[in-house]
Amino acid sequence: MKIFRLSRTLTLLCSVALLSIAAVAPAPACVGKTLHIASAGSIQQDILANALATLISERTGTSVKVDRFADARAAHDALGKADLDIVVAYTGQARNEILKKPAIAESAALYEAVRDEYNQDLNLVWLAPFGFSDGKLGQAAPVARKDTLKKFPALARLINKLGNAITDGTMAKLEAQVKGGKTAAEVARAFLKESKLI
Amino acid sequence: MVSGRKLALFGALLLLTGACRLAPPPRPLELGDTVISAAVTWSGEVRIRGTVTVKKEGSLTILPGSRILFERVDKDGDNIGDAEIYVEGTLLAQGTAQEPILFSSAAATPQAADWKFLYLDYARRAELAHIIAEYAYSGVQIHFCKAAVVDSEFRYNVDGVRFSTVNIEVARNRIHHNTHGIRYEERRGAGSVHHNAIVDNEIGIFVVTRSDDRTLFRDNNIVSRQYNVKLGLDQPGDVTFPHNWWGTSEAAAIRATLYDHDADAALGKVRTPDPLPASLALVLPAEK
Repeated sequence: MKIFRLSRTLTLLCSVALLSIAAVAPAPACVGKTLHIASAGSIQQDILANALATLISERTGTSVKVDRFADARAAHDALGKADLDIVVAYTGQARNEILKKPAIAESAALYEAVRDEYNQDLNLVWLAPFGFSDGKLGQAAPVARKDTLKKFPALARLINKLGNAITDGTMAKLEAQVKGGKTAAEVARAFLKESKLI
Repeated sequence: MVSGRKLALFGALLLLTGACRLAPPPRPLELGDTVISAAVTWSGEVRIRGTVTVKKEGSLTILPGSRILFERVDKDGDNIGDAEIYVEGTLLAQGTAQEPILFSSAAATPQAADWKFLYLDYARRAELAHIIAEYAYSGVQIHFCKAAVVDSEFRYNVDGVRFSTVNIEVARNRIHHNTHGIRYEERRGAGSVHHNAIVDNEIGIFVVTRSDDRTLFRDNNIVSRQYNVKLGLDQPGDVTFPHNWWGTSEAAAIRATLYDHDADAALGKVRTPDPLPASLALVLPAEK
């Protein structure tokens, strides 16, 4: 009889404990927003996207993911839909293919023109150019969504540390290392370390 | 003379004993998104597939020897598993030296960030002793509360131990093979971090931001793969780490393991007064 009573008490206790465990929506804990950076498919894009990702994650602790796209247009569209936070764009390509405007020959004037139009019409911010130029594509520079820069106020300052940090010769050497078998992430990290940026 | 009845009874007892031995182990407790709002005790194996939240009024006690396994689910595709334990109430996870409590990935081939974290946020009471936390984004994250993390092991995580705005003691732990051994933002909190082995991490200690030198790191062995101490982008103030072993006793070699003002003039200085001449003999939990 005593055993029966004990068993009933235990069953009751277990039921109370089980009732207190109920399936509900998850708590709002998070690790902080993960930033998404595009690589538009080329070796050069892979290196630059990884350089940005490593710089941001190593200096701020923010989680960063590199998302690969087939081409610049696809990456730009994802940026417009807020699926991405940052892309690496080229001034000439942006002027001709995205903005559909006539070419501008002078490099500084071209940068200023695309920067102003992106800012005004697309809510996108051109940050400091990396320093090298890729033929018809023009100068390469990181382009970020305005609301991403608002959420991460230090981001522009950090990314601009890469401004004028990569010459034509340096870019060629980095690309050669990837063609030689190293991963873009390894090459980008070694470059940042050598430059004392991480 | 043994009677037939006694023999039969003896045989039945033998059969019962055999049956007990052959009984299958208890099935693990399997949990999806779950709220705990009363006193709950876990033991044995617990498998988690979502967020387990211990509410303010709830308390979770995890018994020594328990195995808490998190299944890898990544709904938002950020490469960080979603499963976690989120504590606003009380968490008592106190294993023993012989029977630590394991928090790990349920994956066959586990890797860092398979699960998110053990997260203490405004927790009423948090005591962690003799636990092993591995393959998480953060082995443990502690914010806005008072907590002690002692005699434990944090390994193969992105962040081993991470805290901000806390009153914390971190002592006698093995913190190894993480991206960041300890990562913190002081934000007016204070802590005492002592007698730990913080070794073989990429970065031993990552001072992310807003630290006013109120967290005392003393009497630790800190030997890292890349940097022993790194200041984050927004840490302009100096920080001091007295009386630790840095893997070397040479001042220039110690300095080479620090990422601070010397690399970026906008950052503060990392000071390492009274460096120890040799590794400390620490009393730590045995490696499991």
